[in-house]
Amino acid sequence: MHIQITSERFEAIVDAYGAEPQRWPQDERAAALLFMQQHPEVARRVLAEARTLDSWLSSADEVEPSVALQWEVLARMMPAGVAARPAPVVARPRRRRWLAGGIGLAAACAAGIIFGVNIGLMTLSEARAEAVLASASLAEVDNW
Amino acid sequence: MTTGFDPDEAQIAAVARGDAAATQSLVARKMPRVLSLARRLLNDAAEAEDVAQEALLRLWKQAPLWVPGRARVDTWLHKVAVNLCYDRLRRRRDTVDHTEIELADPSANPTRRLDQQQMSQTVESALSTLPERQRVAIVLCYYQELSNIEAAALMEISVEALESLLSRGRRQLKAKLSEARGDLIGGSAASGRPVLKVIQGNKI
Repeated sequence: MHIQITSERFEAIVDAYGAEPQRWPQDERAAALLFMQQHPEVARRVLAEARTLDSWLSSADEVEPSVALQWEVLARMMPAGVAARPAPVVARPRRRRWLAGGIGLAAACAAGIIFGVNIGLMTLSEARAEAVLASASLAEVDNW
Repeated sequence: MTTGFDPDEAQIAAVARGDAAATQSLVARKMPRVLSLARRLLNDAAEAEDVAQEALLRLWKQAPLWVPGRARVDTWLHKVAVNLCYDRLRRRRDTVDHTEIELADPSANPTRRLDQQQMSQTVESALSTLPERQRVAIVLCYYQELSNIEAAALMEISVEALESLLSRGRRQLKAKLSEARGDLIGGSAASGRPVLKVIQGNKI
């Protein structure tokens, strides 16, 4: 069905959702785009006003989680540690024996460091977990 | 209620089977959006991290009980995160009320140049001063890019009510940011007084 929208409705859509058509209600987007073609003067004025705020809103920085935070969550999900799980079997190229010995020693050292870091992260995350769980008062949510 | 195809369902099933790689991938994919949502609703980095962690843990615990087709994973996760934020905002409102918040301090920038970082901070601060439901509506629709139907369902309101919150929120934001921006560029910086003060705790 072909929907037509009024000037007031076009203004209300832009007022609420901003100037970018992909943010507009899906069921009214085509009609709003058609309105823009038929009433370019009105559309230009309304969109210009909304674009100012849109550009300010988009200037807010993206929030990037730290790697440590991701590891904290994983440590709480898998207390035994990701490292404790058997490593996936991957076909490796053959190495010369003297090189393999050195690599083995280095791997053992790295494993020791990873184990130590993992224990540290788990201790930190456990303390933080207690604080979060103590403060969260939400009832369990099923998936509706 | 059925939700149609959900691209996350296969991954949730893998997480439920104890697949470590799927769990790692789930955390890596979902953490940025949940953290971003919490950060913008709470305007507090540490609290936002706690909420993001808790929301993802709940999703992980829910994985074995997940009923395919009943809800989209993303919508469910947003709902849990928004509820956790509401909890914290409620507690904050009970303890801190009528706190004066400065949107920006012009003396921190002697050149009075409105650079990207400063504008970003100003936007985040202005957002944090909006009434709670207006802020949630703007964050869900603008930053989280949920559709109007998804955002309204998540907030348990009608689409018309959501539109009203969005319009009022955008108008208030524009007024606050115009003032802050005008003051930063204009002459009030020279006086050394705070640019704009607002009272937190205002009602919708």
